[in-house]
Amino acid sequence: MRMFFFKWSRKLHKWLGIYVAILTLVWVVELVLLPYMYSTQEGQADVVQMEQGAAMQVRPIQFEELYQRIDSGVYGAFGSDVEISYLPLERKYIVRDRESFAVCEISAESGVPLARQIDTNTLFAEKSGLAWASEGLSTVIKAPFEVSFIVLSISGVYLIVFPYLPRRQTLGQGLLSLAPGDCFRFMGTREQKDMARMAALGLLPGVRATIMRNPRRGALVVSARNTRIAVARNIATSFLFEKVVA
Amino acid sequence: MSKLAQKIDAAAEHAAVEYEAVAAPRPASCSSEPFVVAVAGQPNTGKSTVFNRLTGLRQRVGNWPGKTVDRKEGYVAHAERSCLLVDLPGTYGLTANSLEEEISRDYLLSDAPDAILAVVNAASLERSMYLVAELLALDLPVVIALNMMDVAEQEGRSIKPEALAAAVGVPVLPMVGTAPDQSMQGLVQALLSLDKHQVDSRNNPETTEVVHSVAHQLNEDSPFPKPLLWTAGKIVEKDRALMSRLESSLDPRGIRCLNSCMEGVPESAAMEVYKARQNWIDEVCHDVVQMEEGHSSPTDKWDKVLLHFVWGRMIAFLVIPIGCLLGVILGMCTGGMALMGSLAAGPYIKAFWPGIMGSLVANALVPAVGWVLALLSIIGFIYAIFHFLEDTGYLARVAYLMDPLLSRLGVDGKSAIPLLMGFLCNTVAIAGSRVVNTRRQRFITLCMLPFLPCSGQTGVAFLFAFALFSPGTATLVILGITGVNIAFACLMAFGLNRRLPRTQTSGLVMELPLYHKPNFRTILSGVRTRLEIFTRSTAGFIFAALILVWAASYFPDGNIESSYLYMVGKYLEPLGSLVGFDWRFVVALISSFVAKEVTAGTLAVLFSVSSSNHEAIVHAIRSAISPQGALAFIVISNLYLPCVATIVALRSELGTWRDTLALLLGILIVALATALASYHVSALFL
Repeated sequence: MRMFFFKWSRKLHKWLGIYVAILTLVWVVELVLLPYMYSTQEGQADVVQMEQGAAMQVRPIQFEELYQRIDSGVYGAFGSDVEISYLPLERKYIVRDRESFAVCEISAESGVPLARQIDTNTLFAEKSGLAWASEGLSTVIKAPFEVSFIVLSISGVYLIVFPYLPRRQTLGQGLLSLAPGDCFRFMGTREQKDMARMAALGLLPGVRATIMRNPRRGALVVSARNTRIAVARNIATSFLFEKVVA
Repeated sequence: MSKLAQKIDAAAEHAAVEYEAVAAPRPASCSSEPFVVAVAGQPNTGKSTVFNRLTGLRQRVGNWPGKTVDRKEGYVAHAERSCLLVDLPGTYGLTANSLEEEISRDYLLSDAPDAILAVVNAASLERSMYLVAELLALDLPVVIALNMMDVAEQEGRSIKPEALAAAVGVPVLPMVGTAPDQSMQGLVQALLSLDKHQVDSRNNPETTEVVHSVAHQLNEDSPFPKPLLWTAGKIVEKDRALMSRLESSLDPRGIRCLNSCMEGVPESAAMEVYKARQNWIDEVCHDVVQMEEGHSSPTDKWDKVLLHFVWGRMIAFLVIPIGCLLGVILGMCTGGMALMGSLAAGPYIKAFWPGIMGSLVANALVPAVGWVLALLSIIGFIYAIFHFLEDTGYLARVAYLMDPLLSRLGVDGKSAIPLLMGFLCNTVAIAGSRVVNTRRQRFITLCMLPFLPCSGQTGVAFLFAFALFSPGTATLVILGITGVNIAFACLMAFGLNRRLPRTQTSGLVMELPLYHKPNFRTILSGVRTRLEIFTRSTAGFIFAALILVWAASYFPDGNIESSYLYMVGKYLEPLGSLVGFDWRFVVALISSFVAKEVTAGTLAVLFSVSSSNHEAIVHAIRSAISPQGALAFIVISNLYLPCVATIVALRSELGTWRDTLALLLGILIVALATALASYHVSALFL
C-alpha cells in the first residue's frame, strides 16, 4: 500500500505538474500578448476623438447626460454591453465596455475624459486560457485547475514524508549501486537467459568492465573490452559482480 | 596509400602466399556444386562492407525461405576457381536471441556451407572472438577477416594478425574494408585455397567434461543437430530456442534422451562453458592486442555530448526530423517531379489517344509509374540517410536515448527507429521494424505504426486544414490530430503490453558501436537492396490497385457519375452522412487506399476541377462541406486504413492475414468513432 501511494503520488505529481506548468506558461504568454491582441487601431482613434469631443464641454455632468454623451460617441466608440460606475470620493465615472475590453475614466466635475485603456482584469478573466481561440476549449482546459492544486498538495506532502516512513529490506541493486567511472569484474547474472545475451556481447565471467553511464531513468551503459553495451535497469539489477579499484 | 593500408596489404599478401602454399585443390570448387562460404560476423564489424568488396555487383538479393529477412549471395572467382558467398545476418553468437540470429544459426548448422568467413572487428577483438569461438565448434574450415584495423588504431589498439593466426590456427587477413585501395586478393586466395583438414589442427576452445558426457549420450542417428559436441554445449547452456525446436522435432525416444541429458547437467555447468570460452579468448588475444598507454577513445569523447541527458536528447530530436525532412525533400525534388509529370501528362495522353486504352494509360498506368518512381526516390533518400546514421554508429545512440520513453509501452529503444520512420512512410517503417529483437516487441511496434500519420496523410491534413479553417484554428487542428494519432498508437501499445504474454527477453541489451567514418559504397549497396526489395514486393500492388480504382471509376460506360465507384460511394454515403460528408468524400477516402496522397487528386476529379489548381479544389470543397464535416474528414483521413503498400508490408511482417485484418478492423473502428466524436464535439467550437 505504501509503495502504491508512492507510485501514484509520483505519477499524479508529474502529470498534474506538467499540466499546471503548461497552463501557467500559456497564461504568462497571454499576459504579454493579450493586451496587444485587443488594443486595435479603432481604440487609438477613439482616444483622439474622445479628447476632441470632451474638450468643448467642460462642466459637471449627471449620469443621464453621461449616458447620452457615450451613446452619441463623444467619448469614442463603445459597444452595446457597457457598464458605468461612479466613484463618489474621486468624483469620477468609470465606463467599462465588455465587448472591446476598454475602460474609460471620466471626471464627474468637468465631463473631461481622464484616461482610456484596456481593462486588463476583465480581459484576462474572460479571454485567458485560450478562451480567445475557443470558449469551449478554454472551459475544458481550465476546469481541473483548482482540483489539481488540491491533489498536488496532498501528493506532494506524501512525497516529502515518504523517505521518512519505515521501509522493508530491499533486494540488491546490482549494477545500479555503482557510479559512472566505477570498475567491476563481471561474474554472471542471476537469470540464465540474460547470461547468454551478455556472453555474446563480450561480458563473460571474469571480464573487467566500467560503468560509463548510470542515469536516473533508462538503461546503463557499460564498457567492456572496448565495447559499449546498453543494459536495461531490470537486467542490470540481476548482475553478479565484484567491485574493483580503477 | 596510407601507412596502415600498406602494412595491412603486406600482411595479407604474406598470409595469402602462406596459405596458397599449403592449399589442397578444392574438389568442390571444380565440381558442379559450388563451394559455399557463409560470411558470418557480429553486427557492426563491417561484414556487409567486406561482402560487397568481395562480390562487387555479382550479387543476388532475396529473402530467406519463409522469412522476411534479406538474403544476399554473390560469387567470387580467382584463377579458374570460384565460390559462392552467402551473407548471413549479423549475429553475436550462436544462441539465437533474434530472428536474424536464428537464421544465421540455422544456416550454419545446415549442410549448405562448406566453409565460414568470420568477419571480426579489430577494434573490439576480444568481444568479436566470442563468435569465432562458437564457429570453431562447428567443424567447418574458417578464415578470419580482421576488419576495421583503422578504427582499432584510432582507438589506440595495436593488433598483430600473425600472432592471432598462430594462436587460433586459421588464416587471419587484416583489412580496412572501407579503404578504397584495400586489396581483397589475399582474402580471395585464402578462401579458395582453404584446407579442409584445418579442423583437426586448429586451437579450438576447451570443451568441458559435462559437455563431453552429454555429447556421448546423444544418439548419432537421431535428428540432433550435428556436430553433436556443439549441440551438447547448447544443451548445457540451456539454449531455450534450441530446446523448443528439439522438443518439436524429436521422436519420443529422442525426447527421453534429451531429458536424461538435461537431468544430469549441474546448475554451474553453463558457467563453466562460458568460462572456458573466456579463457580461450584471453589465451588467443594475449599477445595479439597491445593498448596504447593513456589513449582516450574518441567514442567516449563524442558520447559525452551525444549521450548527454539534455544535449544528447536535444541533438537526437533535431537530427532525426531534419534527416527525415531532408530525405523527403530530396525525394520530392526527384521522384516528386516524376509524379507531377505523370499526373500532368494525363490530359495530353487522353487527347492524343481517346478511348478506353487512352484512359487506362492516362489515369492508371502513367500515374502508377509516377507513384512508384516517387516512392522509390523518397524511400531511397530516407534509407540513405538512415544508413548513413547507422554506419556512423549514431542510430544506436538514438535508440538508447529513446528507451526510457518507449519501455513504458512494452518496446525498447530499438523500436524508436521504425517509429520515427513511420512519420514519413509507414511501408518503409514496417520493413525497418526488423531491427527490433523480440517477436513481442516487434508485434507491438508493427501494431503502433499504422496509427502514426505518414507524410502523405500529414500533407492532406495540411491542405484541408489551412484551406477550410483560419490559420490559428488550422494549426490547432493539425497539432490536435497528430496528438490524437500518437495517443492512439500509445494506447494500442499500452493495451498490447498488458495483454500479450511476457517473453523471456525483458529489457534493452544493445551494443553501442564505436563511431567511425561511414562507407558510402556500403550505404549505396544497402539502399540498392532496399529498393530492389520494394520494387519486387510493392510496386506490382501499386499498379494493380491503381488499375482497379481506374476500372471502378471507368466502367460500365466511361462516366464517373455512373461508374461502379460512384455506386459504391452512393452505397456508403449514409455512413458518410453520419460525419457530414457526401459520396464524393467517401469515394476520395476509398481511393486513398492506393496512396494517401491520392485524396486531393480524387476530389479534384469528382468536383470536376483541375487537380493542379488547389484554389479551385478548395473553393468547390468549401461549398460542399461544413467545418465540422471538414474536421471529421481530416480526422478520418489521418486515422483511416493505411495504403495498400502498407497493408501488404504489414501482412508480410505480421505473418498472418488474421492478425493483419484484425488490426485493420480495429483501426477502421477507431477512425470512424473518432471522426464521429470530433464531428459532434467540434460543433461546440467551430
